[in-house]
This record gives sequence, C-alpha cells and structure tokens, in this order.
Amino acid sequence: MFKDLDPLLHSQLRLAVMSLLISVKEADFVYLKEQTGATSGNLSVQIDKLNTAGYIDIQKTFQGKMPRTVCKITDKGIDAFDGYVKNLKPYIKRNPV
Amino acid sequence: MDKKFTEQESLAVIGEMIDRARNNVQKGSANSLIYYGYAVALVAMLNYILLQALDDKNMSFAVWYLMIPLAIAGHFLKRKLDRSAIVKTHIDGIIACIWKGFSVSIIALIIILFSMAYFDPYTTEHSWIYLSLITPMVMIMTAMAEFGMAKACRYRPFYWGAIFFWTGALLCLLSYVVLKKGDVQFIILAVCMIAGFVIPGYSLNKKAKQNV
Repeated sequence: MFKDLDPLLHSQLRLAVMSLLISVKEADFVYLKEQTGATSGNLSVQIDKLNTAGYIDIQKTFQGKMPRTVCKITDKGIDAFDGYVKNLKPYIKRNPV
Repeated sequence: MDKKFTEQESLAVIGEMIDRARNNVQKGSANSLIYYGYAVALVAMLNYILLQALDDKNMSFAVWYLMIPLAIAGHFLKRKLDRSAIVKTHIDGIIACIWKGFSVSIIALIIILFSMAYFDPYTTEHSWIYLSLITPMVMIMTAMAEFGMAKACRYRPFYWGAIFFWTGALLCLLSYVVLKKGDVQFIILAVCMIAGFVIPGYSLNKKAKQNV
C-alpha cells in the first residue's frame, strides 16, 4: 500500500521548485530563488538535478548583457509530480497533519 | 534547504509553494492597463474639446487615429514587460487571450457600425446614429473583458472597473436620449477609463510592490 516516494522529489528544495513550476507556465531562476529563499549555488545544483532527470527544461539566454535562466516543467515532470502526490496520500492518511 | 523531510513537511511545502505562485503579482503587471487608461482618456477628452472648437464637427473624430501609434507603442511596452517578467503564469496567458479577443471584436464592431452608417440599405442618407453607438458598445465590451480578467486574477477592483464601464455605457445612452448631446459620451468614456483602468491599475501595482 505504501509506495516509495520518488527520492528526487522527496527533498525540500527540489519539491519546492517543482511545486512552483507546476503552478506557472515558466519561471526565471531569480523568481525561484525569491520564492524558495534558497542560495543561488544550492538552487543551481538542484535545478540541474531536475533537468538531468528530465523533469524540467532549462533555457539559458541573455537579456541585454545579463545571463538569464528560465525553467519550465516537462510532461515527464508533471507525471512525476502527480505520482509523488498520489504516493504521498497514504502516508498523510496514516499520520494526519 | 535540501534536507530529507517528513511526508507532512512535504505536503506543507507543496501547499505553500502553490499558494505563493497563485497569489503572485509581478511588479508593473498593470502598466499596460494604466497606459491604455490614460491614452484613451486623453484621446476622448481631445475629441470632446475639438467638438466644441471645430466648425466641422466630423473632423474632430479624426483624433481617434492617434490610437494607432499609441497602440503600437503600447504593444512594444507590453513586449518589453513580457521579456523582463521573471515568471509567466497560465493566468497571464488567459488574460492576454481575453484582451486579444477584445481587440479583434472592437475592430469588427467598428467595421460593422461604419458600414451600417455609410451603406444603410433602408435609407439613401448616411445613418450617423450607428456611429453614436461606438462608445457605449466599446464600453460594454471593455466591461466584459475586465470582468473576465477580474475573475481570472481574482482581483476585486477589476470587478468595480467593469461596473464603471457598464454604468458608463448606460449613461451614454441617457446623455443621448435625455440630454440629446452626443459629445458628453467622450467625457463619460474618459472618466470610466480613469476609474476603471487607471485607478485599479495603480492599486494592483501597489499590491505587487508590497508582495516583493
């Protein structure tokens, strides 16, 4: 009945990033940093992991002379997030908040 | 922040982040609304002044051609804002779609009313009465678009803005039928643009500043 939670998502910062990205069309690195309160270094490492897993797409562009990183959740990421929430439910039912 | 955590904490993070994204209002997101509010109010007031000043009243309506460069400038302003936006939500897409549909409808409406005015099949004269419908019809359509936008972004002042436009449209009719004055509708339009676009726009931008 209890399925293992996706270890890639069962991490506070990566889950926060995925929760934000599932709610918006696309988000800049600056926005993710503001909303999660993470440091640039840590956030950069975590979004790279999500990108490697194919959960998010990262587009690196330039706005004027400033580099810009825009993240977008992929279909695989949406499925993984849905699966994670489904698998989470039995745990929550067992130990309600 | 990248520590392992309990299922309850996990649920709390999902809820908090979705809530943050949902209540997110970006700085300057109402700039386009404020811009068009001032632009249309300005042109409407110019039209009113020219109606009083010119001998050939029909010439005064040419002032609306100013909306073409103003709309082009507005388009570039919007594009610049979109490029610098740090987040794009699905709601932004819906709102953009509402206003695109509104713009197409306005063009269709103007073509229809001008065609009816110039080529009315029931009379050999031009039927100028159709042209006096432009302002109230535009206001009704603006109210409908703003009402949709209010629902999409759950921002109450936009509901009030829509009500201003609907009321304004009815006042245009009253001014025409009761006062028999067509020029008053431009003052009504200018007031509605300020009350329905500019004031809620500034209020939304203020809310966005407080969010940061």
